[in-house]
Amino acid sequence: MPQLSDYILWDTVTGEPFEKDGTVMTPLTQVLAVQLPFGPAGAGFVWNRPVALLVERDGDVQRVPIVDVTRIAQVGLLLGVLVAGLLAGRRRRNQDE
Amino acid sequence: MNEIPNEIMVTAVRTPAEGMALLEKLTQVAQPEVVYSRPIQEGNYTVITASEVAMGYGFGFGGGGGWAPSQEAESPETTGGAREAAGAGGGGGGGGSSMARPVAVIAIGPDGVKVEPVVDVTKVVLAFFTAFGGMFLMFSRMWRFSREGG
Repeated sequence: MPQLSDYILWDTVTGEPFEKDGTVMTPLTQVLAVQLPFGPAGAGFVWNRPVALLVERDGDVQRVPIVDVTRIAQVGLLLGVLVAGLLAGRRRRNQDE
Repeated sequence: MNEIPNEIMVTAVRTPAEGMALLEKLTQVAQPEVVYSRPIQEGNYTVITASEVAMGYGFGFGGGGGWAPSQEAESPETTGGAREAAGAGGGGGGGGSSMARPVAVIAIGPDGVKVEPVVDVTKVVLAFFTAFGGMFLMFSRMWRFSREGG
């Protein structure tokens, strides 16, 4: 019996560490992969984005996050519209009452 | 970013088996090596770009066949209705799309590791106009409804 995890993967993946002047860096990514085989047809989708870099120096491990400013701005604008719409709708309901 | 997405996008699929093999290959895009570029040395600094990568792909094959009494077979002078016409056909199609966008540049130098974000101004401006347009439509409808109601 096929499991859902056979078709969908949502995970944080650790890449190959590389070293530079005594500093070891390990890249981390977040992956969403969907594979849907239907007999003689199929579809697949992969979304892979950088999450952070693990920086190891002199025994200390530091997690350096990789912030997607563009995505934050996009989501922020759209959320702003949603909130403005909800507030305007609530205000209008209050006026009607 | 390595060449795996490009390899997948230029691969021709002729059979369902080849389509499934390509679907399996799509999982290679999920590797971190696709997101992080190879380190580039520039003076005292080593620079790596980190990109968001998305890729989708679909395909389908189909076929069918049938038979019908031929015109010849229907006429009594010919073979008495024994002959039949048969036909079969098949086809397939597919397509895909890929997207890559730089998210940040990682610079490793004498003063440590720095992550500089890359802002895609076009995307932000498009999101702004979409949000602004949505707000304008929403408020204009609300204003119209309140005018009609009041």
